Amino acid sequence: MNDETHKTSRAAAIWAYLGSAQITTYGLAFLMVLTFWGTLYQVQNGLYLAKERFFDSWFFLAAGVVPFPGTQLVLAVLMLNLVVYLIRLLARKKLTFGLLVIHLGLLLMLGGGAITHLFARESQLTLAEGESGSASASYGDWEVAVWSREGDMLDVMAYNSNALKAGDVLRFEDAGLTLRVEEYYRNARAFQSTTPLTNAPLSSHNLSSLRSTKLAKEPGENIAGAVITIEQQDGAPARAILFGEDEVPTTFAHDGKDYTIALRRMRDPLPFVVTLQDFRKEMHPGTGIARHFSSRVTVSSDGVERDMVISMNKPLRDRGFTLYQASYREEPGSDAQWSTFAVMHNYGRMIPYIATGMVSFGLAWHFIVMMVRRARRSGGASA
Amino acid sequence: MKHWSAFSWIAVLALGLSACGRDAEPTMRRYREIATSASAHAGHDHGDSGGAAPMRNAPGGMSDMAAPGAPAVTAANEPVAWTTPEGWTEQLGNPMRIATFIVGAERVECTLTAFPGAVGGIEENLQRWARQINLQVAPDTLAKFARSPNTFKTEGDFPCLTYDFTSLAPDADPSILAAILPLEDRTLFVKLTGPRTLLEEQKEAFTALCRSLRP
Repeated sequence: MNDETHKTSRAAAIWAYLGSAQITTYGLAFLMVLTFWGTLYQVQNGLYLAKERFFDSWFFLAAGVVPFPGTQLVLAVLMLNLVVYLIRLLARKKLTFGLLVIHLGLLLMLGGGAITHLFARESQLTLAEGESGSASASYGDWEVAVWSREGDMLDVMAYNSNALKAGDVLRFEDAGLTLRVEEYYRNARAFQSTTPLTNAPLSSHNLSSLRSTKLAKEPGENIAGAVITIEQQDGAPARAILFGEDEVPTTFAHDGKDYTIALRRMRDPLPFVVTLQDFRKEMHPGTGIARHFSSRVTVSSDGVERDMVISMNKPLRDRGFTLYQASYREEPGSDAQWSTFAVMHNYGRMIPYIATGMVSFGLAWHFIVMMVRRARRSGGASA
Repeated sequence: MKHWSAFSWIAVLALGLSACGRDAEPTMRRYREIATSASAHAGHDHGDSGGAAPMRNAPGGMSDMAAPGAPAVTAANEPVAWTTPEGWTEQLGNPMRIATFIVGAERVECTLTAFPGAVGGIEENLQRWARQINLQVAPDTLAKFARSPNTFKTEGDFPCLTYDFTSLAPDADPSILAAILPLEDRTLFVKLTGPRTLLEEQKEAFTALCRSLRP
């Protein structure tokens, strides 16, 4: 066998192996192990960290040393396996219509999972009665934001801060601002000085330092913190502490405009404005437990307003966004009420339904065809 | 051998993919949102009795001020009077931190702040203060704590709810004495964070300060 033939045969062997049932079996076995292991890990460490380590990763280090494939890698390999298998079957003209539809449905299911994983976002929106909102806030992602106000609107420039590290530089050119990151913590404890500091960093609570603390099981309990150097075009640099709990952010002026800097939960702009008109709840008699609660809202977009009721089983769906009634808040001794909506943004929401339908249809088709063929063979044999 | 070749390709693919996107330059997003008290702050909670630092004008005109998007600061600027407890030293404040008192030999700060509007719920503020002193409180316990303040009317007829964190967590040190006064257009907060023994000594003085609040 000469070199050319050897190379062709080697490539063909790899191609055949990529589409083989062995890869499918190994992939499913890895998925089983990852699901079991991730579930056990979640008990001690919480859903978010388990998701990050086992289900959102390409690989991770088991026991801190041994590389182990993560769910993303296993699903990517399974998808490749399915595509190669389909192509090989098509090439050999061995693919019936029913089998094709089944496998395309499976591919669509995997593709939908990839779209959801890469692009879906979960956040929340809390409104007081009478209040309007046009952006929801992430549970666990943070951003360094600089904004200016124009009437009722904030013009926001923001960087996702989840992967920030010392040495990173964030430029906000319109605001004439550069932020240099000295320290960044995904979960921080802030310390105040009890004695006056010379050259104290800017912060709203006399903060003197930040320290890293262990990530919480629930991502919403992590409070990010950053120590930064602020460089303005027309001013001397200043050191500042941005702490996620900081409710009174730092402001400054540039070119006649006032800007604000904050480290805050990442915002996901909505394509519409939601105004909470009224929140209602019904309690189980004699208890303090809510039986049912709902929010009457006005949804405005493109100059059109719609009144709707969002309740526990009736979400609002609009342009890929789904708003569910999640919880509420009240203040003792006053009538003030807030309604909290869980906001899901997922363009691939319908894909699992379509994929399941295709697989079901393909199975039914294939089953019926096989039954008819068997019946014909039996009829022919007995004739 | 054939299996090992395929696995080695997959391993290379995995390492390559895992390296993708690392150390990339951070990218900026730009968007607009309605300026509300919720969206201008951290998305759901807002208001903290820590309040703003005293106004500082760093070179270039940088300073700490009220967040934009909140209703007019004038609501929080309406004057409030009080009687400083004996032994406490008062410091000058600013529009958001009305007054700071220095308490005890440890020179711990007690702050009196005002925020426009309702600024979040009782439980959210209590949870935030618990986190400030590294206290882990179960939601049920916190809800019960929130429903059992010491309640009274001040000299100025303000409703006052006081919370003593030493009763919630007797072993916590430092701990907090806090008061929330929900008024019509703003909320006042009084907060003393310090060693447990100091809080026990100063509890009466803290309550006296709260009782003395008036327009």
